[in-house]
Amino acid sequence: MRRLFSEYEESWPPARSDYLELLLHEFYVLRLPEDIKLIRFAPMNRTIIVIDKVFESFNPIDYFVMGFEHVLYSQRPDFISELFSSCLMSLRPRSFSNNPIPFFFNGFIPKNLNPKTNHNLLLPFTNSQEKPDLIRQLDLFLSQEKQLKGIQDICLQAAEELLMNSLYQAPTNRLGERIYSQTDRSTTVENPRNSISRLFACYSSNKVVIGCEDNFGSAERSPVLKRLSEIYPEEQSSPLTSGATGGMGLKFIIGNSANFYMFCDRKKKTLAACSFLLEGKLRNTGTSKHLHISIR
Amino acid sequence: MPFAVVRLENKNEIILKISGSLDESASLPAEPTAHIIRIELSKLRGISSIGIRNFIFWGDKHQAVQAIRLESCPSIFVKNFSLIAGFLKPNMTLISFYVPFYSSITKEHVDVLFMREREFYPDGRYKIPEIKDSRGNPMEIDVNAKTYFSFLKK
Repeated sequence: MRRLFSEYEESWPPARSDYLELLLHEFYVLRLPEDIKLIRFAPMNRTIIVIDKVFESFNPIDYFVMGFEHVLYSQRPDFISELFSSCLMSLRPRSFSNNPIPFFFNGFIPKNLNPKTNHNLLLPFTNSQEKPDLIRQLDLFLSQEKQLKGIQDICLQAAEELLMNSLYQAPTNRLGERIYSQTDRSTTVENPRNSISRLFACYSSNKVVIGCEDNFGSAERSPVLKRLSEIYPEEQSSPLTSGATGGMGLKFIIGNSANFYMFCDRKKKTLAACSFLLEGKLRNTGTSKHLHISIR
Repeated sequence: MPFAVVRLENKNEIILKISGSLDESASLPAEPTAHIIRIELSKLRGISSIGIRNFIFWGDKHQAVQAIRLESCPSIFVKNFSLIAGFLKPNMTLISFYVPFYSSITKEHVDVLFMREREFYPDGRYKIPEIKDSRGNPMEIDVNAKTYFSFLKK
């Protein structure tokens, strides 16, 4: 097994090398396709899947089904910072769920919990009638940055789907049963027990992150991965024809963005977010997406 | 921007001018007895997964209409032609659609309107015009052309 720190030793900032070695010493990487035979020996919660070259029959969702939580692409320019973020998410899940923005933006300065950007938006919501205004405010927020113009439509589409999931799919009653998942999406719904969910967005000079968090912590690993397996690898998908939802939300969230993050602390919090590079649509909608799915 | 439809009618066709976001609150008017429907989409700001499903259902109910002509389709709408099975019905004809271009030098973005028989043809051919940014640098098409235009060959 390859140890993560030594495998990418030349990539770490020399000034922080000792600290990072201490922090990352328990992590491994599986570099695919070369290490494919080692998969069964890998400790899943401490191993990052790194795709050096896409190979025949490769489907990133397969690795999440096996139990891994991070699939990254080494050819992407933001690979090292995402590799580091992956480790931090595993090491400090509570910090990540409390304030994820530094994990997305701060790179190698994890102790600094104030992200190096003042372009933040945080909008609490409890009711589906708030959605049009949330989207309008996000639209205005994104309009501030000229470089975002070319990707604003795909950002808003992803935000729309994140919000719909948060409003209709996430809420549960005290028994943990979903209360709105089968509700028609044009019906007004309200979070139970005064629970407040949040839409957040943040951008720097090179990327924008948009996400939703709620306090239900109701995301379930099997259904999420099952739907992802159905829609992710296919170029053409079919929306669900029955039920309250089209079932294409995840496809748009992941399809539109460069990176996808889903974190669930059971019965406490679910956080779903995606990030977009400020380099036009194509750099985001390509197939090599860093994926992080941690549902415990 | 809330969803809205302006309905116009002349002796041959019904024109639906759509604006806002095609989401769960959007309802396209039922026109199953129309001869020709023209849908103008230049002011469509977004489309959600529920909106896509509703558009598919609307298309299912209008398969007897002789022709549904889609005009000025934004890229967020066009990508569904290739991504979503059943989105584009056999009686739907694309008249024009936008293609995004991007300059990695100036970071500028522009949507260029592709017209039937000018930039694309019913037999699936298309030609990409030379687009330049404000400094005269050539801009690159900002979608995967192979995927984006694949619906033209169907």
